[in-house]
Amino acid sequence: MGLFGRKRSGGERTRIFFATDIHGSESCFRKWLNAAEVYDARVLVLGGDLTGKVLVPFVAEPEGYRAEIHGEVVHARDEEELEKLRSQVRMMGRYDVLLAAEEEPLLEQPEELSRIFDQAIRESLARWVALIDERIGDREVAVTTMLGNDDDPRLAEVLRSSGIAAYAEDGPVELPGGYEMISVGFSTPTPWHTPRELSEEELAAKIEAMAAQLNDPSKAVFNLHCPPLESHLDQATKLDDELRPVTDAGGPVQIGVGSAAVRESIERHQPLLGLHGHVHESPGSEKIGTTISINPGSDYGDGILRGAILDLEPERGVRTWQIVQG
Amino acid sequence: MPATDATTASSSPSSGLYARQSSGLVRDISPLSNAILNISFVSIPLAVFVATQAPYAFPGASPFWVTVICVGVCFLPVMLYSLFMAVMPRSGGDYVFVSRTLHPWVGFATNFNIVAWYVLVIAYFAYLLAPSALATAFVSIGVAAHSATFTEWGATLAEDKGWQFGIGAAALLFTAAMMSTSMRRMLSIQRVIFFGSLLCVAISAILLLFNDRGSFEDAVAKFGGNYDGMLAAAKAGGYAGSSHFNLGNTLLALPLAFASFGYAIVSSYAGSEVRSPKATGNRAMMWALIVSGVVTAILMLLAGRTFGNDFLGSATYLNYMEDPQYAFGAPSGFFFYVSMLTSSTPVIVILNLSVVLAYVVALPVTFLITTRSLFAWSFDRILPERVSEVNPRTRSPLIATAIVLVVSLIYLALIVWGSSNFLSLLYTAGLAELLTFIVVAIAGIVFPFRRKALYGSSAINRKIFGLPLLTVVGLGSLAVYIFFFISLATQDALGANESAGIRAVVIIAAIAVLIYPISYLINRRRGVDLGLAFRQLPPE
Repeated sequence: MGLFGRKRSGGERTRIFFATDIHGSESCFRKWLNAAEVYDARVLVLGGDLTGKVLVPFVAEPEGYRAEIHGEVVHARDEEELEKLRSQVRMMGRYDVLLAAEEEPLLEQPEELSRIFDQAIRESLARWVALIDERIGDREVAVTTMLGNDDDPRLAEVLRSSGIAAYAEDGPVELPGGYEMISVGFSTPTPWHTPRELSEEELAAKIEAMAAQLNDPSKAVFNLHCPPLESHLDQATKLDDELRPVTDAGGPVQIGVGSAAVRESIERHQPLLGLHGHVHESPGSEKIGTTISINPGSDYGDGILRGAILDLEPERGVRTWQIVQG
Repeated sequence: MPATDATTASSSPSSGLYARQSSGLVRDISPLSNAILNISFVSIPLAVFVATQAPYAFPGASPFWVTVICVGVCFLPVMLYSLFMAVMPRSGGDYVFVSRTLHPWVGFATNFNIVAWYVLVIAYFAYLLAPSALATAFVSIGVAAHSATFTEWGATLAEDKGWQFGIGAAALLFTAAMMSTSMRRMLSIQRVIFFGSLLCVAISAILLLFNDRGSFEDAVAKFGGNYDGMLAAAKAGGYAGSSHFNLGNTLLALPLAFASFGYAIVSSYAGSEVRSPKATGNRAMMWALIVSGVVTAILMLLAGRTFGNDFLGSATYLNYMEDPQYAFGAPSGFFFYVSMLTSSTPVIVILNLSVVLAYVVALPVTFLITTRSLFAWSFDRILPERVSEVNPRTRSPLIATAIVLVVSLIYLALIVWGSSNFLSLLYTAGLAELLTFIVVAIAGIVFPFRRKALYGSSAINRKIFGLPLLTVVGLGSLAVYIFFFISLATQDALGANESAGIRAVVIIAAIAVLIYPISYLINRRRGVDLGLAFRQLPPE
């Protein structure tokens, strides 16, 4: 699938900007969109885990709305105050939802709460897709998005509705400069039993099926949400059975939580570049054979967009890479 | 997997938030784990050791009140780092705080400055093992067990430069080996060292509680000294101390305690991997300060009762003057005097081994902070990429560890064989490190204005006296840091203002300022713009 009609002449630098795991942060999403201009990138890649984790209801009162932010009850007395608070909640990577007073009890019913959550996520993602189409328009910027392990699989349809951004998991994507990119947003099983998890065997099969469609894997980009196992990109704090971090006198105990299947696919095909996310607290780069694998990490909770600027050149492959915090 | 799993939501009406089942939602670290994590960065035995030096440097100063006042004063700086961690939970240390607030250049220079001095501190702790920790241990054991061999060993370690370098180098190599193994193994070893080092605190508290001044005077006599004779000899020699409390000198002695309690902030460098859902991780630094302060203060109170502050000052004075009235054969120090209170050889052995571990425990922690900084600089391309390469098996940054090891070994050799000027640089370290703290305080003051969106959406977005909380705490911290800076720069007794030390401060600060632009130019030639590393993207 080609993304752009027009290509620049061969031998030119192709600059990719990759960010991932923004978890519903409106601030990070908008920064990612603006990154094309600020960083002079020709390709914008948004890795998986786009949806947020927390819902903040705004419940109607006789004189406006009430919500709770940072443990404090806040009141919006007019439209201006309401918009300001809703914007603040979105920037924090949380979903805002307006409820009538009589709807508030619904939040205590799991099924209703799930429905409200679903709707908030879907509406937010649809807004983002519209923003991509509006902001990128006919600019010469390739855009891809995909879901991660934390995202409801049904949301792929929302992302596919974009007229500009390609849904990266649908097959190899041709990038400016003649490079190809395959993408898999699933992860191996996590303690949280998230919706898009696969066993190592299933994940290996999925990656291999995608890689088999590539013209030349050695000139491809592997956009695999889960980082390679036992790399510097997959180190996370060990959790006990109750999901508490395990600590020791000298600090939190770190373990590798990446995927063996991802590592094996990189070792076998040796693509130019591996783009990963999933483990927010393990940003870094690592060379696996000839492949440079990168996880920019995520600070979405602070509204800071962590990302990687990657320059590809036909002769040199990955010319430079740099992790940035915007 | 059923799609509904994506939104298996749970309500938390008490907080007004509703979270769905998704990765990363972890429970809080247990309060005990958090306390251990943070207290391990404040060495109580060393805080005790340093505080008992106060009556010597500032006659009439009370180690108890020095501890209490310093802990009180340090609340503001610790709160500053806690608030920064609350705004940027995973960012870790002054490098990111300052880079994000002011400029990456300022952030790097600030961080480089403190790390360069930390490496000197690593070498100094390694050096102290032989002439201080082990020499005291051997002499104490020798006297208690009537073993001339142990006593001779103690005397040898107190004097012999070869042994001092050999033991210090062995400690550094051991620490580097620890850092080169897996994090899990490193933490296991660190845990043993940490709890072992606390034994001397517990034993000291018990011995001091059950021994009064009379018992100690007898013990002094048993070790060949004379309690009253030592007090008289010190006064005759020019020591101006007395048994009366001197508030002015107590205040002047505060920088001694700051050397321990002012560093209750270092977990912001190393303990930030875990984002604490209830922000207890941020409060843990405050608790570490309180617990360490209370324990140290209790020991100082007991020491004042049993030893007498005048004796601590007089004995240290006689020791430094090499007066024959100081007949103990081991350097003057709190734990040495504690070991005189018991005739049980096993207790003396355990106590002194624990004190040795108290010197060792600081090494891996400081090593970790410095290697992480090197790693971060490399990660941001200020240093070559190779510095952040990790061992594929252990995940440890071998090159960064090797750099810290080599530089600390060079420092160690200079401390042992160089001029006494070099040894005095350690005292200057406190002064130099305050430069970094001052910049962090300034960053705290301006952060709410320069990073409005980040501060506005944070949990600490509150105002006091019409000013943002972080700004107020930053102003208070700046006042504290400037007080300590002026104290260290003007009080000759603290030894921080030697001309050699001041020259070193200027040289290291100059290097810190120059590295970034040089790296910027080199990287630009390679097509990497360092200026992008922290450039703010518009969120509109």
